[in-house]
Amino acid sequence: MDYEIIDNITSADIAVAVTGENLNELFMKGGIALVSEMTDDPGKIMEKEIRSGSLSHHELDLLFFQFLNEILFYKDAEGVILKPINVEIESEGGVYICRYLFSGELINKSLCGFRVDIKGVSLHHLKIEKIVEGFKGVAVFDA
Amino acid sequence: MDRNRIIKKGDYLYEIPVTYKKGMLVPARIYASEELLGTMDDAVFDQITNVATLPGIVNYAMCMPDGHSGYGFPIGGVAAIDPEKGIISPGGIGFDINCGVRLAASSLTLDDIKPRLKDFVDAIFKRIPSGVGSGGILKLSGSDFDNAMVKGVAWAVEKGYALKSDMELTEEGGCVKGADPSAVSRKARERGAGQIGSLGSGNHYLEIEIAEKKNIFDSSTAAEFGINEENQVLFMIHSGSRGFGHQVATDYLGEFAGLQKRFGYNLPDRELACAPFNSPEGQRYFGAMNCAINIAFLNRQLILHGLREVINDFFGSKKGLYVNTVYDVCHNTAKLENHVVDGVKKKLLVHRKGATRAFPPGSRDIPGKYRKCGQPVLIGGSMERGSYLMAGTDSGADSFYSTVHGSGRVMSRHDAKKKYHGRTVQQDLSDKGIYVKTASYSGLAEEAGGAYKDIDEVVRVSEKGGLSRIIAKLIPIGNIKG
Repeated sequence: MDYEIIDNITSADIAVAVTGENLNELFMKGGIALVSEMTDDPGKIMEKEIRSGSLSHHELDLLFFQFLNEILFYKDAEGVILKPINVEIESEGGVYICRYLFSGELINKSLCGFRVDIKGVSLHHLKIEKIVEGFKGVAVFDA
Repeated sequence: MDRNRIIKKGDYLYEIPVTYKKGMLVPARIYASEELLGTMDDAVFDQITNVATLPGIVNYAMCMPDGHSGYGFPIGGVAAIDPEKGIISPGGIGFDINCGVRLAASSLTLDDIKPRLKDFVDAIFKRIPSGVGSGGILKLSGSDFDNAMVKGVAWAVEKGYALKSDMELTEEGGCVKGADPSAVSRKARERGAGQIGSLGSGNHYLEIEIAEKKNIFDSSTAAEFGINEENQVLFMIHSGSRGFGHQVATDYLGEFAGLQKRFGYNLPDRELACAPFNSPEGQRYFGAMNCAINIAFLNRQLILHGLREVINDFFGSKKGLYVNTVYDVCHNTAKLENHVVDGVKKKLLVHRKGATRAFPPGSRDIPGKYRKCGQPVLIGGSMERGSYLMAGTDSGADSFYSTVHGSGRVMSRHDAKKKYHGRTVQQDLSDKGIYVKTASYSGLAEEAGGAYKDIDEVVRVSEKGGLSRIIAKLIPIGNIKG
């Protein structure tokens, strides 16, 4: 498991912490943490469907919020379980831009097994901070 | 938190004073026994004292006896806001707008169901979509979707998915006013279009329950609620607004987070991001949230419709077969309600997150047939320990007529998953005569009875604390778990 569960933030929901050497890795790991909490074995998600897009925000943590919620949007709107396979974060003129590539498969064909339908990514304790090793992010998922 | 700073105000009431935290405008009140207070994690007290900082909050920030930590508000959090001076906060409602419970009473008895229980539960599981990302019974688009957002259960009546009595016996008549489809994003429409008429997952379920005479504590009110047969079969549906409501909340939470400086707010938790209720932004969220409330009413109605079809397939030959809605309650809403504050009648925007409205006898906002006994309050327990039927009471005025919504967790999902195994939970329940069909065994482990508070204590405290009164306990025999 490439993320940590934080136990003392919430009992109803799921709080996770991820670290990355850079922002690209941090976002990737955050997305995988989200998918891992919804599935029994995210490693079994087949790469049959591809989605890509870009998001922007002037606050980095709110960009993280948007990015994670994008995975939930595809799950419900298109019935696909997706995990990030490439993420690039750039900063231009005070605005952060996230270009993402997700891959996955239709939920009803999936072999990964499902646990809980995450409803949303909250702003509770949401943060991205610079640490010695790179970056640390915290997010709370409504389960 | 230093728990010595919590002041005992009565056997079932505790208070945290405004001096506890900078920015608190009112004290925080926790309805609990000593035992239940002990089950609440420290984050509950941090979260409810954060709620006490919300602009326009009236009297107290309150936590119900089933309270446990969530995000923004604790689960079980209640805040009444003066709409003229105060705010509306998506974090005070939650992502699953109008997550709630429908209870339906049938003419079936345990003797009818028991011989065919497994097949019956399997058939319901097959008919009612459940689990992660599940599609719904209906797919809505265009003007049909807009009409459903505005009309809620009335839309289902028009289309033949509901009886008129289903609508009348739903909170707000199944159709809250003020729904504004123009305030709903394209993403919310796309996310919710195909999910209406589905359970979802987590703690959502459809349960088959039995009313045993020995568990009926007020038989005359139980009879008013349609429970009058020994071993009568009831059906409890727990679900919400699905992806539609989740996206409405996500959209406005993200928008409000970027507006806090402009509004002059500096709240202790960004999840409490809010807008003045009377601002254009606040009104747009209110309009979109009301759409999600109506979609959740419709969702539970369609689940009941699918259930009725299965019941008809199995028991259609039984003379006088019926499945009647007892009531349908909301857990996660902000609603404009009339209350009395310091002797003066006021309109307040009451945020309830994981709490149930419990209007007293005589309230004009409950169906005429229940006006004598008070609003039915439906308390979903864990699938192991049973559920309760309660009623609103006059003594609930201090809590703005709010009460508990369920058992409340004592164990995080992860701790529960470490302690329990889904298949073992299923077998243990089967040994107790409860047949569970689930979309996810790991999800089932997270919902094990031991992960929840003792519901008997939760409802006892609710009654002793004057929030609502106990009518009957309902015993589960079958459960479809999302």
